[in-house]
Amino acid sequence: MDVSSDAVRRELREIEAQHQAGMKPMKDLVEHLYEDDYDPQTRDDFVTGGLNRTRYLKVGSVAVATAAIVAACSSSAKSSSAGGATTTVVGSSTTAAASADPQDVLALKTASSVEELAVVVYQTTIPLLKSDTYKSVATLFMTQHKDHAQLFEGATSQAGAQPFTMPNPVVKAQVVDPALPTLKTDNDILEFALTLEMSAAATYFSTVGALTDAKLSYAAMTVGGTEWRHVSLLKAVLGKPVDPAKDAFLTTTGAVPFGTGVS
Amino acid sequence: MIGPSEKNRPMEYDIDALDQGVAEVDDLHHEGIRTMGRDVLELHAETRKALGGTSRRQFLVRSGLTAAAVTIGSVTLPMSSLFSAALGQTVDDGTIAAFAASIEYAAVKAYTIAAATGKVTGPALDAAKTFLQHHQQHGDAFAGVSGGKATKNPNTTLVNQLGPSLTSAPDQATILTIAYQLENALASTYLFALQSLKDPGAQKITASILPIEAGHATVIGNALGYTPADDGSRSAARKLIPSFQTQDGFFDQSKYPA
Repeated sequence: MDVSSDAVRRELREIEAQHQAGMKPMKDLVEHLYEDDYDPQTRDDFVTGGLNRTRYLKVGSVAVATAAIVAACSSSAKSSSAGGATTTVVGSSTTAAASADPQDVLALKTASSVEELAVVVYQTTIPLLKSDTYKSVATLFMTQHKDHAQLFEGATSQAGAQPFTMPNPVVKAQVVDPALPTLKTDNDILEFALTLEMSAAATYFSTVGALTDAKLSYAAMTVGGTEWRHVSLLKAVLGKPVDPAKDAFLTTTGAVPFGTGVS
Repeated sequence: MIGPSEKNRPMEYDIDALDQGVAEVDDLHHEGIRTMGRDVLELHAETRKALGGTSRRQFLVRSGLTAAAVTIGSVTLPMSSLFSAALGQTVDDGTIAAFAASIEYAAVKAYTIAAATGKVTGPALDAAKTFLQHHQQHGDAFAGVSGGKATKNPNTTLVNQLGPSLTSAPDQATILTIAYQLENALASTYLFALQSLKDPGAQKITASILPIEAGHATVIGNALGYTPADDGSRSAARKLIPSFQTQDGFFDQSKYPA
């Protein structure tokens, strides 16, 4: 099935519309915080500090998912200060920054670097695709990887660290750069995309049980689930069979270790 | 549908059934946007409760919000939401794993029923058999971490709801639409479960299964024509592959007792 450029533009408009629709949950979140028992200063800190730091994020699901990670970071801060005389609260980014687990931050940076790399790969290869259908699929995937990158970069910033906004330099140098010149056909490109998507999904799965705050893993799996949808669609496109025995569980095979290229 | 070749096109579509399925998914999509915000609120509520503040449940009572429902095929299932009565109750990992095992075995039963109708054929039948085996392995894996709480029995409530819908389905597309929504609901359930599980082993098993269910949904959705190359008029692509996995439509343990 061929897709016209008009169809692609319609798709992009729908993505934007979905982002706009995502404003509602964020509004609910803010209203909820205002409705809470926090003292006025705490609320002000959240609204003028925490929330404003998300201004570089697009509205919508990215912001909402970021809030999930922020909640996790805040939870970490809370846990680490338990037992002491503390006024740590959700949205108190200063406290979160001071208490964020270094391993968790490293995982966030690794995640954003992997997503930025995926964006670059799709940006580079989409013009090379001959099939309009494949182009539209790749364009959707690229857009979603941008969403994911923004999620993790925002969360890194909220944790008080410098977001990693570049493609992972190690994976790029060792895997992507050597491969790109060899991608001649649509199948070559999709096969390579499949490898990257599988690696991304494995990376998110590797966070489970490995991070200080389990809620970060929860947030990572909101992305990991989508990456595996990418994998599944690419496998279908490429005609790769799903093995009844071997493909029942996601593994960490191909995962990018935390800190690779970002520490 | 996109795929490697014409020969792999698995079915003829019943346009009306497909259209209905798309509409149902559209409802799910919008509900998902609504509940995603609440998911975030719940995360904040957990922090707040630990700090001795207002509970999420108290907030909900004040707000007067109610639960929704989701339709799978012709069956309307109670859609668990963060307003579930189960929420806030302390549920141990073994109980959660036993529940997960029961819905996996229900999925096995559902695919068995679907295959027995004789309406699922060709590549779609092959996929159904593969997914059936996956669900069997998932059920066994969950049972293995349930601390002896799981049985080998499928979730009765879920089977009772899905079984008649599958057997009375007029065609393959309707059956696959049910399977599509079932797989999405399973993925959502495991994302929800990740919030509650404490044991790293149970967390890892759950996280290793969640994407597989999402992948099943994608394969089935693609077979049904929910492709990123859709004409865009009903935003099918966004439903097939959302930017983020959500808890949209997860199975509520209190409504589907193991």
